[in-house]
Amino acid sequence: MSDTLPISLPTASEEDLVRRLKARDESALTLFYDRYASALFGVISRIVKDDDTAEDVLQEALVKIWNAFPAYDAEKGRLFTWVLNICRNLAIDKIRSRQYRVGTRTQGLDDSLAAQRMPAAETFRPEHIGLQEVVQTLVPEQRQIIDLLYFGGYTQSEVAEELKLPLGTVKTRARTAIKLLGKLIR
Amino acid sequence: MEDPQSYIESGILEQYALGLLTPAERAAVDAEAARHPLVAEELAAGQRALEYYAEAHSRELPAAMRDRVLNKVLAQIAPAAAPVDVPVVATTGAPAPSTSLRADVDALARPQAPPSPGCAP
Repeated sequence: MSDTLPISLPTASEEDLVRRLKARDESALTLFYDRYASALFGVISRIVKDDDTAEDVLQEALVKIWNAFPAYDAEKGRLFTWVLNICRNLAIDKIRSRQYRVGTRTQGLDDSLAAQRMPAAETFRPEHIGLQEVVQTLVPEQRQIIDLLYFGGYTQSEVAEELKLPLGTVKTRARTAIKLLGKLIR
Repeated sequence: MEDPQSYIESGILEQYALGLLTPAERAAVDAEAARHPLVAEELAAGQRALEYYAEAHSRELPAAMRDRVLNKVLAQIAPAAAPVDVPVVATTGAPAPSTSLRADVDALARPQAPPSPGCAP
């Protein structure tokens, strides 16, 4: 597995991008798209589970990122984390307005859980070598919890309740999973 | 407060990285991170781990989508001087979008359209 995985941008590019977006340089949006859209779309589509909706959310997110950019503080966190959170929140809002309002929240979770049980290849057709590494690194129980928390918008208590696990177990698995993912970076 | 190590082990930093905290709770974690380098390091590591996880879900995107999305975004963003969140739907009396924005949108919409040489209504 020596294929290179573009985990983080060279710092200079990110700085340059931030500087141009701060300067309200609209052409930087194109650069931003080229850097981040495939990852952002991947995350959004994993949450909303529909490519057309995901495209709408991505577009909304870019507008929001542009409008909110003056509030971005590079001292407080990296650009990628900041934009990922904007995208996740918009995508999670979208599924909540679509499914959860109608009826039970449980229905939404059942969908998520059903998705977890699907073979990985059917679930998201990994086009990225990183995902294979993730699959090899996390046991299914860990990945399920991370997915529910990160892509499903559930709290740890809600996950514990639904999976009938003690809250402490959910916390431990989440923590272990994040630690294992962190080790993949180096 | 408790010592940094037990704070780290409480799992709150993972909750932060997963986006599960309220703004007030986040601010409290930021304050701890500012006081304890170990906490800051652990917090950054968690965020990077999830960046990695996100990146692992990257999808290859069709070129047509790039044009569609960027065109719509450029058409929607407010001119630099205007307040945010103002939809660029033409209301009478609203300031026109900046010419540079319009130029960008036009350039993206019709990458090759040559200016018609002085005829045509």
